[in-house]
Amino acid sequence: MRLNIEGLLVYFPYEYIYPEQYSYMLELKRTLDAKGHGVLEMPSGTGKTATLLSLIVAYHLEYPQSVSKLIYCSRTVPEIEKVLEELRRLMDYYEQQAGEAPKILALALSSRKNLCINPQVRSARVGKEVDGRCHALTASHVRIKQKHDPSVSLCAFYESFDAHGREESLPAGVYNLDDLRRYGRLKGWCPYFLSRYSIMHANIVVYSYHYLLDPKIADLVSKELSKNSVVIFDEAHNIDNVCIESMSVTISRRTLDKCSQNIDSLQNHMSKARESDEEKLRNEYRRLVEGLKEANIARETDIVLSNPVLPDEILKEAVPGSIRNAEHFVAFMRRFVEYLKSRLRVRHVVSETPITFIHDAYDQVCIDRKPLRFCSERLRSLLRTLELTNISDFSSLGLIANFATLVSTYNKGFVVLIEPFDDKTPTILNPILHFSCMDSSIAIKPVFSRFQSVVITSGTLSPLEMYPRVLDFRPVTMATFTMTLARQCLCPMVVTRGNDQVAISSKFETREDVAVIRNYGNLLVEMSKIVPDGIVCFFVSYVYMENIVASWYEQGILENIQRNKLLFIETQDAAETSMALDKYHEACGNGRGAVLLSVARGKVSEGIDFTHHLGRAVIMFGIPYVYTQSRILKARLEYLRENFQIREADFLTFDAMRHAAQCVGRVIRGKTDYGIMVFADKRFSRNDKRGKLPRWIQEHLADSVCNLSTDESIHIAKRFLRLMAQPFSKEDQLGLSLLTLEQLQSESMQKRITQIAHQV
Amino acid sequence: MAEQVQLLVNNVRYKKRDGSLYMMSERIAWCPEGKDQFELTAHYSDIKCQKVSPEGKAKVQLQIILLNGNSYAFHFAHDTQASAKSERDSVKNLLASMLPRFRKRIDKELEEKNKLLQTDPELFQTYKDLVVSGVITPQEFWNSHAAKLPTSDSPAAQNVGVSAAFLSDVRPQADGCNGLRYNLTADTIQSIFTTYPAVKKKYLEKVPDKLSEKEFWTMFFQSHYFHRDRVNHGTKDLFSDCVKKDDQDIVSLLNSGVKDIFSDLNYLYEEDSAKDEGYGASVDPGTSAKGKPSNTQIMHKNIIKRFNHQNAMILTSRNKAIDKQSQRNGEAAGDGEPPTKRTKLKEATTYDDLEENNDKIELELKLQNSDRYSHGPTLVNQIHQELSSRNVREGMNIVLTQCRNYRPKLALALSSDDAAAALTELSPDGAVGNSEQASTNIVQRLLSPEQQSELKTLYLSASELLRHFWLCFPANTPLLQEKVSRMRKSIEDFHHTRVLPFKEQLRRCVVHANVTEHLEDMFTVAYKKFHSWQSKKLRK
Repeated sequence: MRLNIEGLLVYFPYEYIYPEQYSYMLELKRTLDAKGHGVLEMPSGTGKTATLLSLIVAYHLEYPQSVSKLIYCSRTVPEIEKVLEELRRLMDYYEQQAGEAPKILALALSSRKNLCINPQVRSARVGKEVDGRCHALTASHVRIKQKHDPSVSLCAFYESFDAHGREESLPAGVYNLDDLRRYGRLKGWCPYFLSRYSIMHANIVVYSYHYLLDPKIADLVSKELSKNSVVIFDEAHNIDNVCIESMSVTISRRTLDKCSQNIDSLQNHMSKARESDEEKLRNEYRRLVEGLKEANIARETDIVLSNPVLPDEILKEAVPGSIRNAEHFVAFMRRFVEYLKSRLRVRHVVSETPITFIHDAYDQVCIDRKPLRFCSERLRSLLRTLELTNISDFSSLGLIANFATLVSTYNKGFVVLIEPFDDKTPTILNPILHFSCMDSSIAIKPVFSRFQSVVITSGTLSPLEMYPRVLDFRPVTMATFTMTLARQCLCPMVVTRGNDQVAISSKFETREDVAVIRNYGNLLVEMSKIVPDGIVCFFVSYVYMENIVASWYEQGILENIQRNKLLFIETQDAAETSMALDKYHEACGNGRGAVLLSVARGKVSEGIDFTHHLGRAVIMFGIPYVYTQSRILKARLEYLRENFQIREADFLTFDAMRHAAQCVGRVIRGKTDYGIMVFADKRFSRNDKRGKLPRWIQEHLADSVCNLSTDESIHIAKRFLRLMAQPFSKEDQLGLSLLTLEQLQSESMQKRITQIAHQV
Repeated sequence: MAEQVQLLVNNVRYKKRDGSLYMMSERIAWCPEGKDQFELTAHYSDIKCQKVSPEGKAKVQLQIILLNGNSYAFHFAHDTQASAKSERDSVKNLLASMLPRFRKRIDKELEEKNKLLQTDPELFQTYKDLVVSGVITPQEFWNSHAAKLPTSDSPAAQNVGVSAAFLSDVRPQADGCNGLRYNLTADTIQSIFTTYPAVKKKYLEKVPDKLSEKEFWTMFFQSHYFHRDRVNHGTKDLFSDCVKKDDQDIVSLLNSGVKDIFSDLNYLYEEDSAKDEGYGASVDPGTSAKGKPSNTQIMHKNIIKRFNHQNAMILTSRNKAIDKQSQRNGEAAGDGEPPTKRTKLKEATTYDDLEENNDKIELELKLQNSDRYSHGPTLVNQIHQELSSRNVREGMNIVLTQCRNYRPKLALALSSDDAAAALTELSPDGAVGNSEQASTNIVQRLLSPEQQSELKTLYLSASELLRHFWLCFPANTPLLQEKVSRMRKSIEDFHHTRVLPFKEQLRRCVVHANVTEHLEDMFTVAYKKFHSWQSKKLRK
């Protein structure tokens, strides 16, 4: 279908279109036209990706000057692969319609674990180890060494890429991870470095958030991406936490012990180096005098240790004299580590700002602020000079150096927290230093200021106005779209009490209440009787789920569930959960039906979709509030209140509701899909909670279904399922939730479409 | 009668008469004493069920109930009750073994016959003609068509899966004296064995050499293994190594990985060197929870683990055979990329309802004379004569370049409604364009309503006639040729009797415009065609 979106010819690779897709395109185009940022909430399963890609590709082809590149950030590897698959479809459509595919190079970038084709390196399977092995074969000093000593082994694929890979660029096309590997094998080039090199001139890059938000990686990978790019953060409902994670550091006793060992071995290496080749160290010294500018142009393979955000002024300065000499620097680090150890010896909880921390460090061990700032860069240079291959061994030292740089660079938005013991086990000493970022805007600020258009989008972003506030940016468009439906295919409801009229809730006071637990159990048993195929349940935390499962076992509820369906439970172990999930899929697939017990904020709730029969009902047991007693959270809440005028309760509810919405949203993945969404907690019926759900769910959450007992909810679910079981054909949808080009262009539809988008 | 008598029982009374009961391979029969004819026979396939008199009753009886509702009671009048009972039981047992066999066969036969009739319409027709009308009996009919029925080798019965709740089905019942009673059935035992191969192994090892079956199961139900919530401490437990075996199973299952890469959580998230431990606000449990987890926590984790394992085992017990097959299909291609992954991706990214249905019926173009189709109408020749070939080529080039360089100015494009409105405005009878050429539309102003309606009817009839006329070509059958001549005659008639008078009438009404021109043109073309056809025919 070829569309005219306010004067832009858009190829949309389908014969029909959802009204909200059209509306989404309009909003997106306006955002791009204004060269500003946008926040767009579009219900899941309405073809958001296809819509985004169609419009932006068309925009890029029409105005290559103003939008030269699309950077598409997604959350998980399968999602990345899906984006490229949709793009491939679009390109095929272009080819079919216009005779030839546009000259667009689109590729995915992922970690070495997913791209490496060297069988030895690949066999490691764990991300960190693959990286380590890769370094050992490709770091520049290893390669220099090989010239003198042929016995040193290198990676043939990298060598081949280095020799020829940069001369001819990747031919235009869509390269998914598998395609990159295949191409790499064909040419004998390393797909990872090929991909990293190619993203500079590619038109469309698809990768994970971290490549853009985590300064440690962004510095290496995305630094030189063109300024007039459009950046999309898909599934961005959790973006503030990603930002915070990427800037926070946690230091335990063990880290410090390892760090001391690192320093010792570093010292050894140094003395050895001094004996054999003193010139090298002297050269380094000279280089450091000249400043860090050179370090900035370090070659790409030398990602020995990555670098947190370095303010530009530091890069222009020379490394301070006190740590310029390698020995001095090592001594300096030792001193700093000892200082940290002494801090960890406290018996009570300490919470302070970076400034007081630096002051204290100065008072205690005379460590100045300035050299601290250079720690990370200095360590990098030293490791390079010493030609150490196994840099993954020095990760603890790198962590401390990064911490030193961060704590001395940022005065605001961070907190230093020292906890001598875990709150749950106050007798066991386990001191931990948290250096926690509280301001999510710090990590994302470079992105907003560098790129002309940044679009944040997801199925669940409500309430929209929260995001610009916590991320500190000014969007030009903020819109949420409703879902046009020919039949009401989602059935949200709030169950507030069991059949015995006891209110159900996961709130702290009633958590251990047997009646509540039993009512939760009965709800699930009843649901498992009437819902076909798969049911997914979400609990508020692992501990809560474990307790409930144990009580259910004692009360015989699990047996009753098993009479109807098989039962699988998420655990904290990823492999075990994957297995459970796989079995769950199998059980749903072969008709036995299954129940999956899972945890909000867990991996399943974030990354796995339960399409069609894999999820006919989802039950949210309780409101997934974050653990509020955590001091890090408290500090963050306080910071948010003081700096962004966001009340604690507001933020907590916002956070809980976006996770709840995310959980229940897993079951609806399209208009032909259908699912029941049960919110099983009394508190969901309150307006402050309900109002924070995405509009497309809220719409169907009438007052009449907001205060149900188990029986009533079963009744409603039964009726809903009976309705949904009726045949549903395209003709039923056409004209309402599915449009042909003609229908789209009719005046009445255009009027209706303007109502789909709600500007905030 | 060449039937094999499988059992003969004397002294069987039926309706108070002595006689003997015969059990043959396909039926049961009773013959009164002193006669050599069966007074009563019943096919096994007609028997619905049998009933026996309760124990301790004076009369030892057996009753068979037929499908049609009739029932016969046989009284076993032997000398002693014991012998009567033993005879009765032998009959009962034989009947019990026979009945299911026949019942199954009957159902299946019926089904097969039905299917055959449905798939073979000719046979169905003969069946209707012969059987339904009563010419022959169904029996005869099927005897003659027996070859068409599939041979009745029964396929392997489908395996019944394990019920997920099989363990809860053996709920213990308190036996009143401080003990528990478990009811085990063969099914449950089978379920336990398939779900827990370790228990089966143990069973084969111990029973019956070292333990009796009862002891074994008692120990099983007492074991920590059965009570999944208890933390396993002692090694005295018979099943403690089963737990270990299970743990190994779990590990090996985990190592084998998951089939579907999209449900592999390890694949899901990007792992990068920069995400080393220590970064991020959340402390990973390995470093933080140094304190030993409490006993209850371990217990809870244990329950979860066991449940996952048990359910996985239940699931796999069912489809081992299927699994093997699918594994073979899903084996990784040389690239290390399972072929299913690509299809999965495709599946995940297509929206069925947005796509065009492919099941549209395509109309086939049937060409009888393909020459004419590819060369186009002869009219082209005229243009060719007017234009030199160079001109044509130049023109083509111009059009082509225009097409190629065509850039729609979409920003200026109108919505289709607006465009349609503009078009109507600009069209001949619209508000803007009102040229003289638009003759047909002037009709409305020129003619009175009656005249208009008459013109309309003229057009309708004329087009009907012409349609028939043109349909005759190519007139290659005598029938068509005859029709052509006839049509031409009627067109001529129509022309003279209807159109010309109408024209005359108009002239009288002082309407100058020649509204019938088009009609007459059409007639002329038809005449021409007829003449050329006729001359051709004559020439032949």
